[in-house]
Amino acid sequence: MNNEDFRHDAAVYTDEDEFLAMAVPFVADGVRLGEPVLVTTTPNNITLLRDALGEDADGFDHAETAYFGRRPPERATEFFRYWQRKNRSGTGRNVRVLAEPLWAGRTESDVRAWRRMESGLNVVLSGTNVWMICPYDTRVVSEEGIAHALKTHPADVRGTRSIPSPDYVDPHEYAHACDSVPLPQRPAAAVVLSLRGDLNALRRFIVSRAIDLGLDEERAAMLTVAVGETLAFLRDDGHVALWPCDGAVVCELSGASAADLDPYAGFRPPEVRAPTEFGDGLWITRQICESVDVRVGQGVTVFRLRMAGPRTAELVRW
Amino acid sequence: MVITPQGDPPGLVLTGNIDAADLEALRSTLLGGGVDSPCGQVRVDMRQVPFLLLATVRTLVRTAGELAEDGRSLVLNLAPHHEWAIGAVGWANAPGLVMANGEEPR
Repeated sequence: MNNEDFRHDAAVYTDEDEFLAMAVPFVADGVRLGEPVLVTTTPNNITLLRDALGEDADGFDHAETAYFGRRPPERATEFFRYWQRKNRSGTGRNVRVLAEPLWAGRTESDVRAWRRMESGLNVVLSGTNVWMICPYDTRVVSEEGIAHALKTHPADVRGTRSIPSPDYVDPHEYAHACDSVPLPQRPAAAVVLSLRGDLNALRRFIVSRAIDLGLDEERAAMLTVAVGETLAFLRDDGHVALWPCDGAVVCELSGASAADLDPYAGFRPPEVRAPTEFGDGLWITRQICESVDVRVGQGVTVFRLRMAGPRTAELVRW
Repeated sequence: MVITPQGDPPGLVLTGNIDAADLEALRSTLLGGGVDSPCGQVRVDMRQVPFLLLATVRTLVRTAGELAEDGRSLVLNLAPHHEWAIGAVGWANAPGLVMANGEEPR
């Protein structure tokens, strides 16, 4: 089955046979039709799939899922950019993506962010001709995780059968539920600066505090880039505050809401020729920060930006 | 937004906050033709801009494209973190756009 429209399916599987019953026809049909096919899953699943595909084994693109976007905004960007590179519009063909998320070892907030992204892909990739199947292995994913898979995907694929999910939740409703989880309170000792005033002074404050908290000048400057795109959503009656948290540096910006913010703003990479979508600059914020939490309520918008801390040993991309 | 002409080399220095309301004026100034170097470069120093937002970058990139149609170019002197952002969105090699580091276009 193929069509030119966007599809986003879950594929719950219990063993290798069920994985292959879904993955082999999905990939083989795509290769036969000349459609681009990307598979990001575990190394073991990639090997199983290649062995099963025989002469079609070299007909698809693949990547270990752990390395195809470390964080949700990076992953969404990688999918969108793969589509941009591979799409040939007007051909009646899909761009196929088999993308298995990794869940083991994640914190509760990480899991919530990844599930939120799964739901958000229904928005971010809408309007494309991506056909995405997201496998969920019941041997490693909890029952709760499976339940959320059926909330974030309109259908579940078993073999080649697509079964509509009665539990599917509208992505904006799902994001609202995720964003209803309260943020931890700002520490009383956090140094706060009013947003009212000279933007140069605001920038100097952020850099100074970030350096005091152990970031080097480069990371402190990158934090100001992340902050800049949030300011459009806040009136200048608000404040900025920075504090350390679990090895990271948290930057909070809060104020009366100056504009509505789509919950999935900043997940699709901006395009120079596309009309400016309000909030599309948040893509930069989301690429720089380890996480971006937004809470909107009672006329107030709060951004919590989490920057990798001074002891983060991972290779920095800038 | 404050635009200050500079003489040697000819160009502009931008400082202050650049709002959405400033973008059309910025575009007009860059296209106006009064600040080109002899080789058709419009040089803009934005290293003192505290927050360089995507909307401004988009205007700059689109304007660079318009300059390129006339054989001109937009040379941007940016702080490294702002230059990173333009590269990250994939616009650093846009037509007519040159990223400079001090006086040396790169």
